[in-house]
Amino acid sequence: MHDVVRETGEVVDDPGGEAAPGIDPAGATPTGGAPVRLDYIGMEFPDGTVALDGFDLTIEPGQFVALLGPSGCGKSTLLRILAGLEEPTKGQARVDGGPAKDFASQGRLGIAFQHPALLPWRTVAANVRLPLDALGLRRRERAETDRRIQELLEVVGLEGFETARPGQLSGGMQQRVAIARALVSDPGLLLLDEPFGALDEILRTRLNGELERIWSRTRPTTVLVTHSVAEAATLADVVVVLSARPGRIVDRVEIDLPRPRTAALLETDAGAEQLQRLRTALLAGGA
Amino acid sequence: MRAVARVVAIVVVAVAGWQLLATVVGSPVYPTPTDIVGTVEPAGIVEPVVQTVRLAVVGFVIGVSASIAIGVLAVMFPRFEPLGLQLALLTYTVPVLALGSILATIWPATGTRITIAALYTVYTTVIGTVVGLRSADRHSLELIEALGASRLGRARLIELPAAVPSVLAALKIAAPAAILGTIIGEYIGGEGGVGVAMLSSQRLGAVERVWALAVAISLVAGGAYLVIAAVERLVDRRRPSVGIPSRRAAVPVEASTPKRLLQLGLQGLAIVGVVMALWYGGLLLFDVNSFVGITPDRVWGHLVSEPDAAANRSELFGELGITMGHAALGFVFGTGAGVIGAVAMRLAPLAERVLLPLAVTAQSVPVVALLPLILLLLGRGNLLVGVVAGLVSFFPTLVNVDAALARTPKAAIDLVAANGAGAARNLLLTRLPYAAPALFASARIAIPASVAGALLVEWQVLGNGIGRLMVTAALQSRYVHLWSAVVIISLATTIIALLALGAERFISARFGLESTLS
Repeated sequence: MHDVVRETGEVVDDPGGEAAPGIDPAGATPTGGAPVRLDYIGMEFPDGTVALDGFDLTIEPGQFVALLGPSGCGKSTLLRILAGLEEPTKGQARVDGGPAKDFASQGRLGIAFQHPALLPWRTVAANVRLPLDALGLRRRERAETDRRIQELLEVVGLEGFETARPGQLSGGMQQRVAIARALVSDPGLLLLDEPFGALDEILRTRLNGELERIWSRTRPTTVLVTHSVAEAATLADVVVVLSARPGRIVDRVEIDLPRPRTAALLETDAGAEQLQRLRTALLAGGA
Repeated sequence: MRAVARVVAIVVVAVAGWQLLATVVGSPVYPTPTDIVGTVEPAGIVEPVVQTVRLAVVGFVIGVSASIAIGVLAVMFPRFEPLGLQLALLTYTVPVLALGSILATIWPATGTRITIAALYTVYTTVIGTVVGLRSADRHSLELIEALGASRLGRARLIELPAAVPSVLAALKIAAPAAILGTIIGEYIGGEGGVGVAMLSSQRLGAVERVWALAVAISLVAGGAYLVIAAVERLVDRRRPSVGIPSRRAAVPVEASTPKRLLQLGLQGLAIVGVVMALWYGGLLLFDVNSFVGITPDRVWGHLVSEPDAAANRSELFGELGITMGHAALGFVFGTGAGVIGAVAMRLAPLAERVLLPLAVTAQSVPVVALLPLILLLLGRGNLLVGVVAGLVSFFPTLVNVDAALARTPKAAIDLVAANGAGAARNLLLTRLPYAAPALFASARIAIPASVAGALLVEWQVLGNGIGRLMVTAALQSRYVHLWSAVVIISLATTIIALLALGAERFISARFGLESTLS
């Protein structure tokens, strides 16, 4: 079950033709993304639950991978392993050639959960700055940081809300802050755990469109956890379909639809075919 | 069964450790368990303990029933709620020792003891009842209302069952508190009971008996706590929570400042009115003669309008300064140690697993009531007042701050960790700010407790401050002076506790956190 996901012949350059403003490309891999290697990961919790078993996956730099699976298939566990929050009980997770935990502690990781997890006492801008504070990067030039936060807030459509507090924002706006926060450290690996899962369908579709646009600017290696077939097909280069617990790879589907992907695109024959294949795989995995 | 085995193991280890330590120390004030068992007559322990517990139970039942009624009324009639909660807070901030010294002049000892025991249960029980009733699942309430249930039906089917865990949590604190109240009542006067027995043994130098009494009453208090805690766990396990609690924001939607000030002013007036009514009404109802029963207007005269009012004031405020200094000393050290302890426990989970149960249980030990023992160990001096007033702030701070640190949303901690922050920085960025309101919430508990501790030490040991003044005023039959002292110390403590409450509300609002209300 050794499963190598290869580049799909996607255009690698930024459609805008330029790096996003304020993002320093120096020292980054060509796509700005880090390669990921999940080497036969197994995860058994102390209570005996086996969340993952022999999970093996290689992700190329700059690739957008969606992990699609039923609830409880271990996809979130996988993400936590990639974030260095958990150690797998078997196998190892390597990001940019080193252990996942090291990559996280270099501050090159962006992460967003289903719950926005904003700190209620911080303003929107200060919440976006949190990852830099987490690294103790206070001494980094304040003006530069502030400019970057400002730009990110514009990118996610929240200009003018810098000094608002999370309690004053709607759920969708809070989640946009969470996305901006995930991008603030110019991540080489972006981990998204159903970031829009708690939002309504319309808002979710719109934010997915925005996410694709934002992602296309810098193309960090991205792992998205989702149980929405449409979301996976809209965003990912490659969709890895997982079985019910313990999570195993059932299918790997390369989504060769052009970007930017719209709802209409998914309704074309090519789009419908991809969706159908994902659904079939999901059902085969016991969803 | 495993829990029982664990308790037995802890007891065995504690007794063995004590034996070893006492043997090594070899101090006459620190006897070994075998010394104690060898010298002390069991009957001399059992009798006072039974007497104390009997009165504590009566006080507990009276106080808890009244408190639950107040809590239910507060939720049923939201207009009454602020008044009810603040009256409950008042029973906590008015130094019971001071109140008791007045009660002792007009009531028999038994009544005083039961009253103090009952008063000590009021605050936690009222708050526990209100929080519990409010925690009822909003969706279930709406469902049952749509099905045509009456107000009573809703209370019976949804709200009361929802309140059970929270009420039990409060009773767990109230039971040892009733014992503490009874013992403080015993210090004030009368015969029999653990307090009297401990004081007389300490004065006679019967070290082993002081120890035996202290251990026995601590075991009873801790036992009551553990029994209710066990019931609480049982209830918890049977009813895992599923609903989304309908907790109204504890910080009310802010009205405009002038309107808010007016509201607060009216509320304050209402409280003063109720207190005055209780004061006058109580004196009338119990037909207290005017020599010992002092009305508010006579206190006013003594402090404000009479010719020697200035002299009275300056004497009282001088003593107040001393008492507040003692309380502050203990409060600062106790709270500081509590915060440091909570943080240390968070950073070292193993330490937490060992220390937290001890700290939680120690909270149920009536520290203030063990004064004679502490006196034996530390001698007379300022260290004593610092330790007594400090211990009573230490435990609530430790337990509250630790709980708040633990309540911090996991996603926030994970996020900061995934961004490369170590444990210490994570604490600083996420957990400590989340715990800030809890610090002030425990200050609200700790400040009155520190004042109570300071008063008791002054009264029994140091011979200065308001604590001493209350004794001499009563002995010299200067009853107006006594009542004035009680009014002043109560007002001062209440104002400081209200400031802590205000700070808690402010920080909760500023930080966008829910104020804890407990």
